[in-house]
Amino acid sequence: MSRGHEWRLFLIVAVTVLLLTIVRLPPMLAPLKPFWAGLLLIYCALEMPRVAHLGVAFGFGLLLDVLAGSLLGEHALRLVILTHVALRFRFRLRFFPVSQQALAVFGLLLNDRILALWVRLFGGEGWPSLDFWLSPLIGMLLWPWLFLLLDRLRLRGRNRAARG
Amino acid sequence: MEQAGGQDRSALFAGEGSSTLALVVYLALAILVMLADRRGDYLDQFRSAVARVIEPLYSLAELPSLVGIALRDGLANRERLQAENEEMAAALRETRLRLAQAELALAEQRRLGGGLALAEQERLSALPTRVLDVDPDPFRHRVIIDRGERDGLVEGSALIDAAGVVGQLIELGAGRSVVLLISDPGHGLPVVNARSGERSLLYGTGEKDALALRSMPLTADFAAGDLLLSSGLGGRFPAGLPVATVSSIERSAGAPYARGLAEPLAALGRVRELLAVAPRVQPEGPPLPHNAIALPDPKPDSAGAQPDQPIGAETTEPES
Repeated sequence: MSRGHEWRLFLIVAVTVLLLTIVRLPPMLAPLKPFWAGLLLIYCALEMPRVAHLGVAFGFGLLLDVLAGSLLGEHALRLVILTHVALRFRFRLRFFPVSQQALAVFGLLLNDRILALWVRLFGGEGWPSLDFWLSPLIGMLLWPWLFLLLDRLRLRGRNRAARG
Repeated sequence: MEQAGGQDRSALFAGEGSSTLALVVYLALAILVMLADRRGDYLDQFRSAVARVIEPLYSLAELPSLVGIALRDGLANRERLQAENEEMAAALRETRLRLAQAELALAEQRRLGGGLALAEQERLSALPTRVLDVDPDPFRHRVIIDRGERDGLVEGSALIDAAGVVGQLIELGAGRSVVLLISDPGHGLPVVNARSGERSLLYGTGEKDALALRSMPLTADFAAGDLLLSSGLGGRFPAGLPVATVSSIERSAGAPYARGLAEPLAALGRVRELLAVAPRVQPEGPPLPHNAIALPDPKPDSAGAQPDQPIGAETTEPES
């Protein structure tokens, strides 16, 4: 019924996410860059499950791989697993208060970081420095605000779709 | 069984939780893609096709930091000065490259007592490039540059800046390419000690300000302060480019090998303008198979044709 506006929102936010992913931050802040794509897909898994299809996660991941120049399939693998886990627990996560939800997001992102490390080690890259593990923490702190923002946008889109 | 139960419960909420089958299929697909991408270049076409579509994103993502830079040096004749500056920097880079080569050649000749004529130096073709102000992953030793196949860049080119070797091109796009920095833990670079002439391999450590010398014989003549130049072995990097200075050498009594650390001459953490130097044009290793076959072919043919005729003549003669 109301799929169109959800897809439109996803596309707009996805492009923003791609930009945020590659934008250069000052060296001090660079290690703190959250996994924007992961946060977006967790939100989709919770609130827009029709959009959060594993195929979408896979395709979006490949796009990120090309953009970031990483091994093709690395982001795809990470996003597929992240989306799957988030979808599996969505009924529990949706009824959590925001603070608990943020903690769960931290867990998901941490798991994703471990996966990223695996791919790295299999690919023959060495251990990253310690601040590699800061990003899930930032993701957790950002989650409530991101959730509010995306929810606001989604509801506005839905109301407009219902009126029009 | 448990999963079936879980899905039953979720059906109550009319959700569309992803099935385990779909997960397995996509995971297998992702792993296949990773293996294919790592082992060969089957996916290059796909990658460059996608890259062409999303290239504008790089320019957009660059805007904030470009604006920042523009504001910082926003002086009166900014443009003119910058253009001039860029021109001079490019000229300087190129001059240093040639100078370094000449230096190595000189050193070599001195070592050989000047008896041998210098081997014919191949001309280096260098293409100035700019590092894009984007940063996909701060934990990877890669940068993206604004040149690609369109500009005549070739896979395996060496990237240098005014101070020394920066990295090598690992992924050639149409208009953008990915460069692996020499500080990547997976990178090894054949070097020669400018003082002693001894060769070794210089590995990345994962730190942008340190490179490692490993598994050198205990007697290797390396000391702190030595200048390391690329040796040209392996054919990727042209010989004689300055790479690093040795900062420490460790020879512990029990260890079978000496190891050391070196400091890269290029500031790998903040590279901006680079020069792409194409790898050597001479083919390495044995000649291509079709050449090997094509060359000897005519000879056996003509050689075979000659005995053929007399035999044919002999057999026809008795009959007639």
